[in-house]
Amino acid sequence: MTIFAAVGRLCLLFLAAAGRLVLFAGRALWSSVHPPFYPRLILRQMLDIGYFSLPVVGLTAIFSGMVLALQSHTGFARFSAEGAVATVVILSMTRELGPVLAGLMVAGRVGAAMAAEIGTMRVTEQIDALVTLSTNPFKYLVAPRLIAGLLMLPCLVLVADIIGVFGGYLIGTVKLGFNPSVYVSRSWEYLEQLDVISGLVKASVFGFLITLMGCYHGYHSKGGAQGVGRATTSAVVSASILILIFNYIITELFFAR
Amino acid sequence: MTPNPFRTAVAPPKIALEGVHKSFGTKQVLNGVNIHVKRGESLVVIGGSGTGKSVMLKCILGLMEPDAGSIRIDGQDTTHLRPSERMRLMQRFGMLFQGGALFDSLPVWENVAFALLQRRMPRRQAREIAFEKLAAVGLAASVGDLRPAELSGGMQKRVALARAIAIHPEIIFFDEPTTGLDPIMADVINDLIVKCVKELGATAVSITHDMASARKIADHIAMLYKGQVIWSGRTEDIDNSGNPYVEQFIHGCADGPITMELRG
Repeated sequence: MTIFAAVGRLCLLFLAAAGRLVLFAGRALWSSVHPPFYPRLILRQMLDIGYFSLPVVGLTAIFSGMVLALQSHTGFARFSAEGAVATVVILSMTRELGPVLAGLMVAGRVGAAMAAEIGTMRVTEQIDALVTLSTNPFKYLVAPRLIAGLLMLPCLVLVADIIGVFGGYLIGTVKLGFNPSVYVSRSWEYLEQLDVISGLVKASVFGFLITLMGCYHGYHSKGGAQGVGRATTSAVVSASILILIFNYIITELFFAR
Repeated sequence: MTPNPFRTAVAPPKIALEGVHKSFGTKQVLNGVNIHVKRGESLVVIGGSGTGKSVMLKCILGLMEPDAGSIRIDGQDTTHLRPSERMRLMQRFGMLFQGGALFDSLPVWENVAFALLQRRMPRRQAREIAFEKLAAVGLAASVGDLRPAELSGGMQKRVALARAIAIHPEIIFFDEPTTGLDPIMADVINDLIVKCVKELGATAVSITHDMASARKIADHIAMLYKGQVIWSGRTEDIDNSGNPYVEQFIHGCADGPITMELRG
């Protein structure tokens, strides 16, 4: 009997957590579209999420593009399809690697910082202090981060796409001996608008998930420094898993026939 | 409207708690708390750690909702307010948190002027008021541009006090105002609290386990034990309370009717 009780308790815990998360997300979204807005805070978050993530995302993208060119060249050589390298690089970057890698890197960088900051505010009563100063913490803390995440991730991913494709071009022309103009025209030949758009939609969803997880775990953290540490870990892990799950779902929605 | 002399005679207490219950899981924290605070009066609630003082304060502030009972401010029940009404009520409150709870992302003056800036007051004007309030709690103007993390504990408490009084609240709450301060700084903070409350003509509710602080800032003292008020009276009477629990607490004896539950 105890086994059933344990399983039941786990299920209830899971459902309660899922419900809390959905309610949190709903409240956060509602706060994001109702005044008062805090333009200064939104701008600061956009700077933090977008601009200061550029080096990390750029480095990730260029090496991914380079390794992609190298791998597909050596792999495709087995059935004499080396010509497809440029197409493979640009399609993989825009559809998959750009958004997913940028999402994961930003989850590690920004999601963790958000959870730690909001978590510390929670355990030092700063969130309670906000309420006593007649300020809604959802509008002051959560909404600016959500809005910034939703808007900035697509921008980051667009930059990552370009840098990644450039990485592939670099390896293709310098190391693998492609003619530069042929490589570029091959890249454009099979690229469709939908490839890029689907990547940007993914990026926006990932931006939402990352900031939501950072805020949610920070907001509900308790128990001092240890609690904040736990919130930070949970924020990064849950954001990363959700990114991978939603990556599949969005791909299915866009491309599965 | 002309003031009605009969009306003022029966004016409801500023704050009235009746039968307030609150529990977390199976742990009953507040077990029917009854407290009345008159307008302009300073009430200090004393009690050991874990007796429900903080929870009571958070219930009055609306940061927690009681399971049962009523909390009335000026006769109006505040336990089931809608968020917008709650926000409006909050504008009449000031709160000094135990750790200060200053926003470490903002400079000191923006902390003090936070509520003013939220009300769309121009920054220049808010800044001036912030420096006035800092001066009122005995801080130099140069402090205004520092970050809260650069201040000592006593200075942080002062800034938090300045923030709490910045919008001229009708009711001010103090959560352990002297905890973590040396005895001299504690006394300075006590004096500041008395001064600020008098100047604002505000009603004050404090919780503390520091008897020196309680004697200094209280008109009335109530003692909380196991989620209930077991004694209340004027500050002068506390030494002749005839209540063994109060006696033990104010003398700080380990022996007596109160036994420390080391297992929560």
